Amino acid sequence: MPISGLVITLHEDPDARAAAMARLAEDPRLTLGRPVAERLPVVAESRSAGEGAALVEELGQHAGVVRVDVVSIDFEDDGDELDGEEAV
Amino acid sequence: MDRREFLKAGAMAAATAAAYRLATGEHDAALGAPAPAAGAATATGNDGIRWDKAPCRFCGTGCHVQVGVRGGKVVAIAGDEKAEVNKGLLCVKGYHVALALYGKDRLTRPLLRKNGKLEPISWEQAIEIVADRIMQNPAGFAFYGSGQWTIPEGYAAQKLIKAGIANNQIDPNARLCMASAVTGFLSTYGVDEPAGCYDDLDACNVLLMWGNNPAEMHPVLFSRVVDRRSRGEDVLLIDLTTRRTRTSGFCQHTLIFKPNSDLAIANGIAHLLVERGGYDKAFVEAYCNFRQRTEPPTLDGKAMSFAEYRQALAEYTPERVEEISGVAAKDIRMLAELFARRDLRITSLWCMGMNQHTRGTAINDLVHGVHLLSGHFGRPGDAPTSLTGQPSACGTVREVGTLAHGLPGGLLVAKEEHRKEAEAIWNLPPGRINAKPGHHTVEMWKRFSTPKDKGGDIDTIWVQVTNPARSLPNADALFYPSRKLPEKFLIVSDVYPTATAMAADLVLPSAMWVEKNGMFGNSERRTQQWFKQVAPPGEARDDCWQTIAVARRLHDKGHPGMKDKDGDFLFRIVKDGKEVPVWQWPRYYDVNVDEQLFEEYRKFTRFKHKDLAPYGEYVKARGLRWPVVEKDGAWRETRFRFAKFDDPYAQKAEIQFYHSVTKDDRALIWFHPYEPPPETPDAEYPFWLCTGRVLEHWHTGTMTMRIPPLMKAMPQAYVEMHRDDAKALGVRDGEVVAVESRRGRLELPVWIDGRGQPPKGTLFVPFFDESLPINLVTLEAHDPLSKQPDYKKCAVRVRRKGAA
Repeated sequence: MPISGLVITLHEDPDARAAAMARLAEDPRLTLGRPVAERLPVVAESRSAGEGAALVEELGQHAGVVRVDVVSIDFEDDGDELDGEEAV
Repeated sequence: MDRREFLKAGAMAAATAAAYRLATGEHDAALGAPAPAAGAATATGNDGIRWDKAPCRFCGTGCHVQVGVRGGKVVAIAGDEKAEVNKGLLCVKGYHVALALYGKDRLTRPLLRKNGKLEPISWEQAIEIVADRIMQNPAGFAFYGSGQWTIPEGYAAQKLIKAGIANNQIDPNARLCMASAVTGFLSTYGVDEPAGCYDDLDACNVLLMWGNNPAEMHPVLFSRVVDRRSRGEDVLLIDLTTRRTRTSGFCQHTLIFKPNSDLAIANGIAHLLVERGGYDKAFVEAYCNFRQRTEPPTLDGKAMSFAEYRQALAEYTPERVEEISGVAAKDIRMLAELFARRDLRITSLWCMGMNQHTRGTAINDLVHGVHLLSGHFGRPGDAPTSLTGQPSACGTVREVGTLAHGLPGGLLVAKEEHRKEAEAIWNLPPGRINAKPGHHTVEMWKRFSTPKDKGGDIDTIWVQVTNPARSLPNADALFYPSRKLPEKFLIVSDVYPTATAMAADLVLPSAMWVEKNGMFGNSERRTQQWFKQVAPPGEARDDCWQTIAVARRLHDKGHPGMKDKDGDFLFRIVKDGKEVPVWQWPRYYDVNVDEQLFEEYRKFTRFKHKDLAPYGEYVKARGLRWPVVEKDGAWRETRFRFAKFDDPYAQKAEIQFYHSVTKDDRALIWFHPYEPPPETPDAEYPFWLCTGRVLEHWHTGTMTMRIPPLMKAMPQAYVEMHRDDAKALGVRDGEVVAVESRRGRLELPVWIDGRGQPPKGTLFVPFFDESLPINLVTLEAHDPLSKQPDYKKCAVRVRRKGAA
């Protein structure tokens, strides 16, 4: 189960930012950190590296989210993925 | 805290530190990830993961990653927050880079083609076969490498060819991606590589991208600029492009131009600067001369006066440029007005769009010229800067000089004094180095695919770290005919069974990235170093070892070029004063071969003021930008070349072009006319075809297509088409069509309004998909000086499947 460190850049409008934060907080795959201005540090957990990449894409589509940057990824437990097959 | 919680805490710390940096543009030492970013290059966390630095394996940006290793395997990747290039961030390829090591079909044994099939052999046999091929016909042997060679690997190959075999037959795939940038720098400044650096991206008010899509190709650099805007800074982004891309979406202006007409646009800007008095008269009079081309073209050209320059530009009125380029006259005026403003800092970026161009040298010259003419040069944020696509196109190809005409450090085989310098450093007998340049890439492969009795004088090519079967243009003419000629022998060192490897006669399994020591040089003159962190699989071995092992076998077989003038082996590696037999694989890591080769190579770097520091300085740093000069016992890098405030070699004036073509410390402002390309759409082939990359994949996809998340995100190539063109052809989105040129044909699914949106009459196909090789269709026409082919424009037609 890969663990990724992300920075989500939220919209500068406070209402849009708050709405996005609330929605992100409901996602069980995410652990939210303390925001620094519009930048929200997040830890994401996924079942495979492929699912992790899809999650990053999905987060980028959320209303109130401007951009998602990945700063770290741990894929040690993604053994099946490393062999070219999707881990479930 | 269990291990998983520990990993989560580490990820959160890294993310928090990055969030702080992104929000404030500053580093907070109180924050920071526990293991990977703890300050020193190497650290071991409580979870048993050992972290060490390495530059990313993919593009020319040169991001540093922290590589987490446990149990002999890379298990984690983090952006290196100590790295100035990427400040802890990575792109989608970067954070998956380690998975490139673990595709299930890694090559693990040498393979020899017997009766049509590749069968395992021993390394002993493999080295013997390579050496025998060279001994049979040294003149017909060529080395074909790449900008993914590490600096020591490229240096070893260069030395084998130039100092040992002495036939100069070495060229890299970088000929296909940045050779026109090299000739542009040489013809303008007399010396290669950008004067500016990535710091310009932090200081510019205007970023002008010339046929460049950094949002996908150099995303970490592009996000540096976009971040400034999100922090409230006023940065104007302008996209000069032949199709809308992801970059366009971030730009205030997207100016779509007709293929090849960028020369007219640059001339149009220069024309207005001159006619309206917006050029920087003081800068031009102090630091520039004017130049025009000759026939045949040369890097020196012919002098012209300012009045002649002005006259030559006269026809490039905004209206005439609009007619040629399709860019509105008001936008040409807007660009000229920006360049006329002294209060702005303007950075131009370009990459393959300007380099893969039959007028590549000319358009490079013209963009430098616009900056020089307007004085937008030599201050932070004022820079014409080319980017590279490979991690060491600069470090290995341009600096080590692994080109058919080059010697290390910017020296040339054709110049007697340069040969003498190289022979002195290599301790060779006088006259050993051949004065005649070898064949450039297209010519090398053409001759390899031509029978010997018809002029095909290259009969053996050894390919390392590249995939010419998929990256050469018009591959059916340049690559595949050789595979049917029994006298031709192809040797391929690679990590995966690429299309080239599978067509080879002998395949050598290679170590990759952190499976070996290495050094790269990125797009901003930054030299980077890393250590081996995991073992390669099976019998895979370092490319550098392979080269030295072959050299030693040649030595043992009596090849005279493998000894220096004292009778010592060309690659004499010593420890405690004694030679170490590093050609024996078990002994290769008894000593740091990279360090010894690098220290020898360093001696070359002073001739053109590209000074490198001792190896140990790079071990400590996340790269250093040359020239790196020792002062008061410390090694200091240079961010802005030719500028007195930062470059220790520019001390005579505020700006000093100290390698000037005209030997007077001045740069050259060139005039080159717009001319149509060699192939344009016509009634039979009515579409332009442009090729390139996508965010998820790198080069021919041999690594990224083996990384499941990337492969799933972008599983196959496609052809982008304008909706109106699709409608006229009766083609639906996703329908498979045939794209045909005069050279080849390929079937691809259509993508309408996809990631990129070409204008009517233009198609785009990415080249990452080995199973859908668009380079069967492209054109091998190339720039007369750089010899770089034009992958960005040829004429094609589209046929619906099943149509006649």
